[in-house]
Amino acid sequence: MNCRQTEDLLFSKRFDELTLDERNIIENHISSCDKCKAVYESVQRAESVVAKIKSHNPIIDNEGQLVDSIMQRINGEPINQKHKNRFFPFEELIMLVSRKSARYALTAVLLIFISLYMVEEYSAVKNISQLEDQLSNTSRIVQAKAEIISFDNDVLKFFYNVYKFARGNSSYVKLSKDWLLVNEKDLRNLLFDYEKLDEPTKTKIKSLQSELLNQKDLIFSETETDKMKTLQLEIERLNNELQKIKTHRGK
Amino acid sequence: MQNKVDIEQLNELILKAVNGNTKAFEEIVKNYHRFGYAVAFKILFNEEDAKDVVQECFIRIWKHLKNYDRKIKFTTWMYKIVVNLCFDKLKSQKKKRNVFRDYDEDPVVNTSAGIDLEKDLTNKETASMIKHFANGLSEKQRTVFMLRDIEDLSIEEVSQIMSISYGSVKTNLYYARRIIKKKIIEWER
Repeated sequence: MNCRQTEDLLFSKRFDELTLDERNIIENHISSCDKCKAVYESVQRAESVVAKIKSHNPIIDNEGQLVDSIMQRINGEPINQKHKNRFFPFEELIMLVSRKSARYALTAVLLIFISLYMVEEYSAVKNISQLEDQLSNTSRIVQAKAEIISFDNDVLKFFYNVYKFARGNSSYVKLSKDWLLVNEKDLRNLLFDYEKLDEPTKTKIKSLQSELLNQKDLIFSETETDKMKTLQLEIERLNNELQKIKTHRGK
Repeated sequence: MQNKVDIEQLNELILKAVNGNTKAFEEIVKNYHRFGYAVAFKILFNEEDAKDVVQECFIRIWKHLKNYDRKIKFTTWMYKIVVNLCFDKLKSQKKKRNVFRDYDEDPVVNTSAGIDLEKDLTNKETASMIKHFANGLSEKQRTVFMLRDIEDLSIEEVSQIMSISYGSVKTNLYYARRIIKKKIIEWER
């Protein structure tokens, strides 16, 4: 860097604005150039004079009078009402929200609402799921019972009877179609045994089969159909409510 | 009395003032009149003119408070108003000087001689120093220097306040600094 460049940098920039590289270049130059070293020192002093001016806070003569005269003029200058109305209340709301305390309060209220909403939605979903389970169970049981009773499903009905017989249990055993299917293999073994049974036993089994048909619990009753319908309506209602909540949240 | 309010309190005062509450506006005046005065004084170098500008500045703020954009700092807005009012003042003074040729201009150079920098400066001393060092600069160059190097604002802020480009601030600052530094060096000799 030559003298002209050094001087240009010193006069056009503040010391605190010089980059580390610029400082190094200037320092290297002034270490071997007395003329620029003198300029450097002068500029440093000039900057301290600027700093002195900068630190000066002008004192106002009759300060109170200045404020009073401003306020006297303000009182004679009505604010534009048209704008005043436009400003309120939207701006006030923003102002209120911009206050820290109000922000915290608003956040708390929002959190409470969100929590309540979540709980409500969760319980609605839970209710629906419980009802669906209930419906599914009911329908499964009813279906199983219907299938057992139905003449179209003689095999299952027979398995059931064999099972009861094999267990030597004359009382009613509650079971589902699923249970029968899961235990099909065991039942088939029993069937195999059945084939090997003597005629009186076989007759006894057959009589058990007809007895089963008379058992109240296994009869596909109107009451259960009604129950299913009620459950289905309840699920439909809850699903509608859930849908409404979701739509509202989406908005 | 000055700048005791924080940003939230200031916004609250502004809201009240916009709705016609003069007491709230008085609080704003009490907190910011010194700031406005200091800026005006460093541009005009005259106490009475600076007071006039501060008065006008608050009248303008009162009238246009509804338009105040909270995205910009209140002080930046004030700077802008004060700087514009100072320019208006200087323009009207120039006109007067042209009309009345015998207008008594203060002697610029001599009043700054013999100031003791070890002591606190008086208003008069500060005014005469700025006047002397900035003599020969354009209003724009002087104001750019004042806002950047005396008020310590960023180049972006100066550009925003004076409604000039970033490049223009830098160019004006370059010339202003060169002249002022050279004048101070001469003054010290």
